[in-house]
Amino acid sequence: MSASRPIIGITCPSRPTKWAKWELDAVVLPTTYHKMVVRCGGIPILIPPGSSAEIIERIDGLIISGGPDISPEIYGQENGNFTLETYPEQDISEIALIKSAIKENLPLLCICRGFQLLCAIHNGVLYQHLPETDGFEEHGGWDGNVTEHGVEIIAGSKLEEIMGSKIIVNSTHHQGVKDPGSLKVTAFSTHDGLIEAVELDELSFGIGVQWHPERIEHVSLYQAFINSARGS
Amino acid sequence: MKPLIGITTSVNLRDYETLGQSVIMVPESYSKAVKEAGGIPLLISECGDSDELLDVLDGLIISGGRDINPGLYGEELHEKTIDINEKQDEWEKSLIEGAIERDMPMLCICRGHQLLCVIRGGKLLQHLPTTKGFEKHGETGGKWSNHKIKLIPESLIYGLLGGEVIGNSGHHQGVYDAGDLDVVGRTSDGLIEAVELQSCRFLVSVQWHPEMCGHVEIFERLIQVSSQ
Repeated sequence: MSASRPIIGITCPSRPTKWAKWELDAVVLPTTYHKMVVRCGGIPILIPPGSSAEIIERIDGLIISGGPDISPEIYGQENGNFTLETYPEQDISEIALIKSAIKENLPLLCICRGFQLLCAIHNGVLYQHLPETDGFEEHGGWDGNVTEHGVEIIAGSKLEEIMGSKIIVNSTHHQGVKDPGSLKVTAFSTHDGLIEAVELDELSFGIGVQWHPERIEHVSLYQAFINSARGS
Repeated sequence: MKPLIGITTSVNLRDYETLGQSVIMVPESYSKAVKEAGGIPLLISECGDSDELLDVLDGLIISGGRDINPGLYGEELHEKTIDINEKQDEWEKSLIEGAIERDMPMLCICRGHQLLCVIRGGKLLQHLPTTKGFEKHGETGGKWSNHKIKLIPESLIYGLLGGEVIGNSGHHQGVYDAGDLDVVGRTSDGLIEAVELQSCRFLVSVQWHPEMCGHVEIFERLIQVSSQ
């Protein structure tokens, strides 16, 4: 890439969306990701669903955004009672993008659903509904509701180097990571011990987080990601 | 390598994950059309200096969306010209101007068509349903209709689609003056439905939505020229 600012691809889903009086399938993404990337000196481009991994060689960094539940099939389970809407085409496309990014050592930031998908494809397993899982019933808000809680970050991790050892995060997820598979866990929620972050040591930048850093002013995380993309 | 095609988007408030959430959105039909024609679609939104973005793109689509600020063509706001976004107008203007300057293949659709014409010195009618001669142009307010557009033989688009094409219509504003652009298509009421800048390798601009009408030839040619 010849641009002075790194090109950051952000995945996004397709949903029926309203335009005035009609509804069309639209590619949609909350503006917060885009704004944060611009703020940290990147050029954001949105990657529509169904995009193939050929995009990886054309960008400098990849963000797998938040969104709907991933298909439990990915981690060998059936749909739970609260796993209602899944989008296999989006899952397949994002899995290919993640795998290609890892192979090419492309700076990678996985957020919320993106974090869960990252774990699942590394032989991880999810809790399909925290409000009905022993010990995690009060984890946090979901279904549009947002709460906050503390997170402790493990000393010596890249995430700790970037953000320090204790932070406050937002929480708006009903699923969570039960088993991170082969990935290294780097953060836990302070009130119930749920896995909140992982990282891939073999990459220049490979971090997944359960929360939405772009919605809670976690500029340092995005800045570190963009800086890494600048060098790639 | 397949060409990277940037597609513009709109920022709106929608009930998405939460009520009234600010989202970037565009109908999926554009990216599908680009993909099917052999390109790599990317969606773009205001991100500062457009030159840096144009540096990495091989082609550009200025998509449909909201009304344009009539101040750009020296007029006052009509009561039916609503929800304008001057920042979006300015950014897309810089993209269009940048693309023309570097002769980047560009396809302008609906709002994109209107914005291109305005930038090149043209003018819009702000509300066709109440403009003499255009009251029956087509459906608006969420409905679609079809109309026939006659294309002139000395145009790129004639070579792709022929002399007469059926295009859909869901727009309440329209182009009656295309500035210095080459007018290549009109409906029977005279409204300017297609323009080109024939000094460019590929600059095609249409009022209708070719991605909704199966006019794949336009996208295929865009991809072909963007690959050069």
